[in-house]
Amino acid sequence: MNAAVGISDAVSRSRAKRGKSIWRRIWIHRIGIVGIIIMVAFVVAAVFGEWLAPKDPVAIDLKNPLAKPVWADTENGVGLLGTDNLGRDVLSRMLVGSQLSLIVAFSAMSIGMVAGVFLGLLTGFKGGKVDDVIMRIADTQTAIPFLVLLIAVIAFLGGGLLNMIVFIGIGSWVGFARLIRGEVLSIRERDYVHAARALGVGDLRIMLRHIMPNAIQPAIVSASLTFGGVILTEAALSFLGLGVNTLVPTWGKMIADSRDYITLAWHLNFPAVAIMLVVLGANLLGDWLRDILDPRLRGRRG
Amino acid sequence: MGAFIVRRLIQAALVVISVVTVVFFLIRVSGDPASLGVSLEENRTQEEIQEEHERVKKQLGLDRHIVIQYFLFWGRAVRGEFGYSFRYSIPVTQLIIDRLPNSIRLGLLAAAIGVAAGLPLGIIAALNRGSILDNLATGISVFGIVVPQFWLAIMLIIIFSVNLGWLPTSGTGSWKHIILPAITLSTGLVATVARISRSGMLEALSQDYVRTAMAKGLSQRLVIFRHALRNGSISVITVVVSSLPHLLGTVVIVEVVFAWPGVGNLMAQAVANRDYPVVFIDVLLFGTITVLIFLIMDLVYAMVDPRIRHR
Repeated sequence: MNAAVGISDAVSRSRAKRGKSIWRRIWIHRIGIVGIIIMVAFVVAAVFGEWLAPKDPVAIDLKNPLAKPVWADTENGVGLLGTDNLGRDVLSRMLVGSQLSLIVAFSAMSIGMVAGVFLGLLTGFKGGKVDDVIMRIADTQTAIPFLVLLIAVIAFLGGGLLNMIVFIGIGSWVGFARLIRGEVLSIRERDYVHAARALGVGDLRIMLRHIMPNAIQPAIVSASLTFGGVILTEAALSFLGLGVNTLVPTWGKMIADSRDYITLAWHLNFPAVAIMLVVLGANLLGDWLRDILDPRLRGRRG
Repeated sequence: MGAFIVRRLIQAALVVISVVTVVFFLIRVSGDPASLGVSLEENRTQEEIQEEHERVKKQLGLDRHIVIQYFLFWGRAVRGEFGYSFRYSIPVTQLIIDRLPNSIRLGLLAAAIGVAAGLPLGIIAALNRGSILDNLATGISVFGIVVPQFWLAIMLIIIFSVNLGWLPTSGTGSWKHIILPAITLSTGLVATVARISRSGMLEALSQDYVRTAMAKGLSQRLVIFRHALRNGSISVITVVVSSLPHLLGTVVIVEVVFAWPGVGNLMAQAVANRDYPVVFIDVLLFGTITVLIFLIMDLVYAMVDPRIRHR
């Protein structure tokens, strides 16, 4: 899941290396900068949402249901982005709701990445039986469509914030493991690894100190894309009513709740716009990271 | 080749067996399915409820040791008996048989749309590299990746069913019913196919044989379709097939939004109703379909490309 956005040009890039003007550099890295801005805005909204929210996100105001955003109704604008069917402030709900999305996306991605990187290192480095067993487990997991598996597991073992994070996290280790394993397979035959072994360096140390730093790059890119993927997965689960049940809903739940009113109030689409923006930001960031981390790809894309 | 097929078949069987095992034990650790089969009417005494609970447990074979249950389960599964739906009280296999054709129809149409829309998009983008058309194609494929499909579904319903009144909002019946679900389901695929075919086309256009063909004075159309496209089609097929698990997952959401009577919708309902036998067979079905498709793809590749057999 990565966007074909990175429009990079080897020539202009190398020109920028020589350092003409800062504006030129910004223009060349515009894709990454947009991605970073979106992600920073999202993190700020999530972390400081409760303070930033102009109103109480759960306060019901039945006198002003489905009020339009302030610019569409300048006379008696109720909330900056309007209100939902119960008169609750959409902007405040989105700000507070983003917290959960961030927690889920970041934690699940981290679990998947740590587990995947470790198992990928292990399988690639050890090979043999370890490799066989772990990769067969990976095969089994990919055999079941992720969302179907998630729905089933949540149905059997129950939802809740922690479960959701753990399940999605466990669900995303395979991609990381495959990436790392591929890298490790080529790195472990390099001279410096042989040299380290000849010097009597232990397996674990070789794996963590010598192989991992050289194999981690694709995983970092993939982490960014996984982040976006988790946001979408969480939204989909919330939409199906399998998400985390909290007082202030996540963006996915907000869309599900406002489904019947969207024809009456177009501003109820803002949570969807927010989801798309964040996923776009994660993808842009991932594309940009791939470009700057892997010099071989420079100029080949776009 | 024979050895390869056998090895690959054993591998696929192992995966299916593990899927069954995992889901079987998941259901058992999740709680007591028997308690769901007991009616809790108010005028019944504790003893009566207890009695029925035991009876249901016995009926479902839950009073035996879990390992014995596991093997008994396999014994029935081999004969195609996967139990009865708690909710509908008919064999779950019957439920699946009733609904699977709907899902297959939807999935095939979505795959067709994905290729039919994504391929030209990618080719046009590659042939007009850097132009507005290229940016437009890129924009469409980015949209296909970032859009939450359930929201897109709602938007399509509002635009084409509510406002324009061209297509029905949900359900099944005429050919009109399948259009919106299929389009929604295909968005991710359109995006992926467009991206892959664009980069594949760009790569092919820089190859020597394409340049030779151009230099020989063959028309551009002939070169694109005969030479570049044919060689790029393998990677497009790979992408379509390997995005299948994702597509199958999305089926659940799309079927729910459009109330499409397929296996995905069945699964969502079963989860909501705690109808575990149905959830179980649904997961098994999705898993088996994926395994089979990957198996077929591998075998076809091995037939086409001898290098793969000897890996």
